[in-house]
Amino acid sequence: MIDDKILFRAGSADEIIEELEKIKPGIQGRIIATPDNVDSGLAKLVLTLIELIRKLMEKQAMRRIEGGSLTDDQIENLGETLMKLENKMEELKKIFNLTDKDLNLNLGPLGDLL
Amino acid sequence: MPFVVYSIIDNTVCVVDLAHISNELSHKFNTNLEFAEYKNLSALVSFVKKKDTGTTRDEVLCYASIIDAMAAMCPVLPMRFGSVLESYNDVLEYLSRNADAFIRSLALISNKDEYSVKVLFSQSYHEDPVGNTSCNDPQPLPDILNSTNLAREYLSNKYKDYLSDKKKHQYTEQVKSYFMSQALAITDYIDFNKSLSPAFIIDAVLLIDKSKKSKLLDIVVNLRAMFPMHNVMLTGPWPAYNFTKTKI
Repeated sequence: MIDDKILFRAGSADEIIEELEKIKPGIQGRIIATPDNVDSGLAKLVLTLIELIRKLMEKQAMRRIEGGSLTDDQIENLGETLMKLENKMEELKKIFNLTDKDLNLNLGPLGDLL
Repeated sequence: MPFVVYSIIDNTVCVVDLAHISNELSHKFNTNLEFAEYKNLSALVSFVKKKDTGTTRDEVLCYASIIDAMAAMCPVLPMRFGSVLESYNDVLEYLSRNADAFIRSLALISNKDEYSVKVLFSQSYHEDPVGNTSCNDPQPLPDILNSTNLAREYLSNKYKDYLSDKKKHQYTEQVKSYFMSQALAITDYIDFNKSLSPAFIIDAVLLIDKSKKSKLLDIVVNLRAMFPMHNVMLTGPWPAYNFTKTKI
């Protein structure tokens, strides 16, 4: 059906198809909680929210570096804190057998959370 | 008996023989299609047997093809896959309850079609999409990050990623605003979807007057000429799935 609808295409058809395949709606971003997997379902939800907050903190930190408002000591603390936070997230992902791809939520028409 | 709803039409605009169309489409798609009518509105429906197995790709494509075939004959308000009501009476009630909203939406899309424009970074530019497409020198790192200390090195790498993302975002906005400035000359109805993959620069849908199809094609061809390093695709005409946001 889509082939009949292509009015213009330029560039690599394979690359376009590859990207369109990637964004097909799937169950990736859903929390699937059943009595058997309620722990990992909940862990996925909680870790996704922590990851969102971690990324927001990271972005805010980058803005402050860009603005030049941080002292030498603050930079030192910030670097260490963000590094430890990222390492801790890696540990937690391993414990719950989750990957970066799992840490997302599909918000319907709004797209993915992360 | 549950009914699948495919699309809704305004009988005053779509002056066609509904019985003939439903027979023709039923035959073509091997489904029992019929119209449920309420005053000036008709809904194309078919009854569906309840099943335990999940949805197949063929079922989704068949659903979209039925709407597409109907849209080729007259303006339709397309429903999303999975629009099922419990009974024929529920379909009539659905039409009666939302009649005003449906008529408003049908008036908006009358004589118009939806098109989709996608512009993507090609993989050869994907690693450093902006570095290859602009003449800007890379921004130097602030002195405060220059150190061999582990924490600063970590921050410095994060900061480089941040600058690269920022540059990519600025470039994407530049391409988008160029496209927008051209497209606004032919329509006010343009929606940009949130990029679902980092490869996307533009993922837009436009509602265009049927008479302006060739102008849209020119715009997209020019866009590609302006940015020849990107993959570009224009598809359509589609039923106006993205411009019929009725509040029901």
